[in-house]
Amino acid sequence: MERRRLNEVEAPQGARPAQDEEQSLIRQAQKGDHDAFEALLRRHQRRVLSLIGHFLRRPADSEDIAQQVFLKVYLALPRFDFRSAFATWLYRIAVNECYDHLRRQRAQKSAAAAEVPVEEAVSLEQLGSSATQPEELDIVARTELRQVAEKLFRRLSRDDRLVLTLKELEGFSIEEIGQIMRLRESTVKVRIFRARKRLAEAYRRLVRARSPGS
Amino acid sequence: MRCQQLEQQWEQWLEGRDAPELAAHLQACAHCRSVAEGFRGLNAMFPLLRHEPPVLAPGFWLRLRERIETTDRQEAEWAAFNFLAARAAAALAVLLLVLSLLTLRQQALTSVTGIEVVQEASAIPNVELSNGELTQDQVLVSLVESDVKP
Repeated sequence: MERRRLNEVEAPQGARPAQDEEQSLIRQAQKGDHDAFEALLRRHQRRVLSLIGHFLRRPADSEDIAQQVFLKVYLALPRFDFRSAFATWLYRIAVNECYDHLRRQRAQKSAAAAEVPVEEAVSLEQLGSSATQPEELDIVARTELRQVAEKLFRRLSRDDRLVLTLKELEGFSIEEIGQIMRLRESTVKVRIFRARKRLAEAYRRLVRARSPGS
Repeated sequence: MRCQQLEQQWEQWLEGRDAPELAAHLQACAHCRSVAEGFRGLNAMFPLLRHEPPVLAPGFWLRLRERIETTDRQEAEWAAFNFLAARAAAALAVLLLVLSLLTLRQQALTSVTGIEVVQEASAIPNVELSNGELTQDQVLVSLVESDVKP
């Protein structure tokens, strides 16, 4: 997967001029310039939407949550003091908003409700063999696999899902995840490892349930 | 080596780096082989979980701008209300202070007048009128001394 650094934005850029331009936009936005604010967010919108979509697994909600995130950014921007990268600060607000959204949802339904039917696990066995890669499967098998993978992923705790989203789906580095989650790098590493282990365990249980004699 | 002692080796293995102790351990431990199989499954699973972010609806930025302007307006109204409320509270406080000072001053003047009257009255010889009545000053002194304000 393509790895992008936090301070990379979607507009074409060299490293330094893009940062200077971003700082200038931030300062203008802090003075109440709405055009500068929009331009600033447009540079990060794709990544923010991707993060929200990957973490919550509900693309339909992504836009509303992104609105909420951007509004919170607008309200908090006057207090942004340039001590951290703007992107880190922005993604932290996005992560917090996702947590708030999950908290609101929790009252309505159980997050771990999506049980994976055993019969769906048959396709997962193919993933276990190191020879098979998803792109080698036909479209039906791929769709089926995706659904099973989605269900397994949703069954993780939200903390596990967050670190795996940031690391495996969004491609943030350990250092960047530490900045976003305000954790030490060693803690981030441990959390990622344990989340992977729990997901792998769920996967193995599913495969075992399908294997003969189980 | 025990399975629990290999956490760091697992991290190396997952990152595709050499993990010789784990490799040796995997030869002997069926449980860890099964864990490794699970991790391999995950490596294939993650690409399936990635998707392109949704395309924003055309009115997204307009809607955001409207919300921001509404928020700005509400904040301005709230700030104006706070400003007026603060000024009204300050004016009320000043008014109460002035009234309190006036009351205190009035009380001070009244008590000073009473003392002066007593001092002046005590200087007057206690002459009783020929008809046996008290002078006007004597009446005043007796009233002040009995704490009855004239």
